[in-house]
Amino acid sequence: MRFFIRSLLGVLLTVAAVSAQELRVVTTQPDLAFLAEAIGGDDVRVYSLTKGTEDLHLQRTRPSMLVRLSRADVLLELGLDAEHAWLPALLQRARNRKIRPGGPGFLNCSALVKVRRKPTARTRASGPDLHPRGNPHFNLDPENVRLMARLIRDHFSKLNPDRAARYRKACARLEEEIDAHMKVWTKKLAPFKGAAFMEHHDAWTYFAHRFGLRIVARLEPAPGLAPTPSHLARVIKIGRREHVGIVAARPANADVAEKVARAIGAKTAILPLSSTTKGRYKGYFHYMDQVVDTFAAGLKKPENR
Amino acid sequence: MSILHRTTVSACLALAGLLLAAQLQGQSNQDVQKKLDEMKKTYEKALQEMRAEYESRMQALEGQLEDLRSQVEETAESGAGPLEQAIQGVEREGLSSFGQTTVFDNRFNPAFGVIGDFVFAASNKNDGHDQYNRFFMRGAELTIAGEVDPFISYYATIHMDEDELELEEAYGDAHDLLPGNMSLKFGRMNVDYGKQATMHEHQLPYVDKPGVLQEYVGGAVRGTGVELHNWFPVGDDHLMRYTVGVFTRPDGDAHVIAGPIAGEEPFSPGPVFGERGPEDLAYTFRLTGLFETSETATLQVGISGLWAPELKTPLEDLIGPIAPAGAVIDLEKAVLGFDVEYLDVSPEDGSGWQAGGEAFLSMTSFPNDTGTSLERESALGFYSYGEYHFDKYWSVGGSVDWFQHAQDSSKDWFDAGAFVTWKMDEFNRLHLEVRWFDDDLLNEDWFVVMVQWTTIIGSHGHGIRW
Ligand SMILES: [Zn+2]
Repeated sequence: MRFFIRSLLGVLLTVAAVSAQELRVVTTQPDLAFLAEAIGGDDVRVYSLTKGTEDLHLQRTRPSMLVRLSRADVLLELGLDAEHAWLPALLQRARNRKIRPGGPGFLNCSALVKVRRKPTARTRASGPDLHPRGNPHFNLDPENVRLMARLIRDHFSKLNPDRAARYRKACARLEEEIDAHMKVWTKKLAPFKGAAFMEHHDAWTYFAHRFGLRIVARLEPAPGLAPTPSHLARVIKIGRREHVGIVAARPANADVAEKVARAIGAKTAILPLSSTTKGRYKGYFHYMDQVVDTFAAGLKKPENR
Repeated sequence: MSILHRTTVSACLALAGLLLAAQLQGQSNQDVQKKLDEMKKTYEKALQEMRAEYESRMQALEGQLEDLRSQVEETAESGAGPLEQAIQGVEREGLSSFGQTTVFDNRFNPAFGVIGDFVFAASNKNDGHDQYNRFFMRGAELTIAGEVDPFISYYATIHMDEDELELEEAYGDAHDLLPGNMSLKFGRMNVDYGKQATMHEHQLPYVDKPGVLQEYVGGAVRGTGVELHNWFPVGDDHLMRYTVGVFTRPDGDAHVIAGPIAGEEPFSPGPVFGERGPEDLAYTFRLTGLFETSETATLQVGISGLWAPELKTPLEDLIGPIAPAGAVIDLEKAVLGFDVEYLDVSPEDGSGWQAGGEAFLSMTSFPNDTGTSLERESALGFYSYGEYHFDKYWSVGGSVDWFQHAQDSSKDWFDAGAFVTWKMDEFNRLHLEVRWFDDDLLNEDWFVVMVQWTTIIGSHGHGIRW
């Protein structure tokens, strides 16, 4: 009997020890989940609040989000107001001080990123803007993903100092992988340096900069505004002149992208704005492979002008 | 005669010649005019084309300039500071990462926001209250939110319309003081009663609070008191939530364009809650479950109760001057509600649908015509609605509303409406609604057409759907 109790106690203690060490990580989108898993390994149990196919700016709060946040040890957000429509309200109700801004588990993953397209002056005339702090889609540049990974590595190390060496190693491994992929991606896109493309939403700036591409027009007049016919007419005009190869859009906006692409003789690149939790874009490298291939297949080599 | 004749003929010929000459002259003038017009058109067209060309070229150049500027900045400040510092920086940033458009903004503490609600209503109803066939500001709502300390935040709503300026809500929310998920709201607030009673009018799928809510609880239940909130998870994906509250001075609040308590029309005999003093307590509760039935769908069911056992009311207010001077009576009011809402909206493009409804049982006491005895009346009512979202911008929907009058359940009210909503962007919403009404008490039916524009300026919070 005593043996039984002792072994039961032992099992319970072990379970308690394991779960105490295991960090429950909640991320706002799948790229962050991918990084958290790659760096945290067995020490973390990761859950992404979105699947990657959604519009991050328009998420509706769901009960499961609140439940996951209330139990989390760590919260990784993109930041730059990307999640402003749903995360703050959830954080206030989730009653989890650990993961609120300022709490030990909270991490704004835009911290190391050089923010692009930051509005220089906000005036009433400039109208509503979903990117008041600059473009929050920095995850589309693989080099930013490296910075995000380092931030997550340091964050985990601080929360779990005993395992810091392990996180360092995992992050180094991940960075090697980024290096290897970057070589391939850069080579594939090198012939298109200076090539022009268009996007539906103000999203691909970081990607364009990394690979030397030019975004010559956006279908949305401003982030979050529906394209108007007169704006589209202007966009089409630019597209015809600028030798545009690709019109990039999320699957939800494929229709209007298709229309513009047809009008200007370009191809569409219908892609989510991050990797996804399942399906063909699962995993950041896998996702970016397809992004690069899609662009390489559609971009037109810039004319010598 | 002949001379006269000749003179007349020559005069006529001369006149004809003059006319012809003038005619010819006119023709050549017209030709020139025509040519000039053509030239003008050609130039205008060329100018327009040039303008469009330059505009688009400028746009493209702006993009390239932006790229170059970023590249310059990049070379100028290559290499971020030490990582640890960056993490600290993030943590120090605190609430600012909540963002410019959310309730708590560290740049403005407290955070201010204004919501303007403008309606044009047209009706064939003979109202005599200047209620219809005009454009008016239904209200501008100033919201103020801030943190007292890390445990308590405060909120205030000031409503302003054409007639009055009113402090509607002013309450504290001790969100982090009590154990578990419990929080305590205290002050003057919209009581957590039912699904749509608590919502502000501009958040509803239609212009007005459903008629049954107007009649039974006065649109929204407002009170001064305390309200305890709690929620707990059910499995990984669902949750339950409850509230209990005690309030004095319970009152209804609505800014109704069309409905049983619109204008000053005598649809609703006596104020919804009578005249209440601070000693008249009202007790409220709400219990609701939120279930995530699929990756895109949520089902919510709830039950709400409101009980005001002793609403001390001067008799004169209810039956007029025939009441004995100074007579005060205790009225009782209880309203029970059951609500259900199903929502299946794609988080990818905002398309999908939602539908819901709420049924009520109202029990109320009121004096008879002579004030000699109290009468009791039970009445039933419900509203239900459905809305289809084409995308994140456009939706169409319809709703019906039926109830027995709270103090005369033999007479009922019915209205049905259809509406189109265009969410232009995060800050502007346009709404068109047509509604038909039929009231047994008035023995009348009528329709109202409403156009509504809602706009948000400054800080605003995205509430949680619960
Ligand atoms: Zn965006």
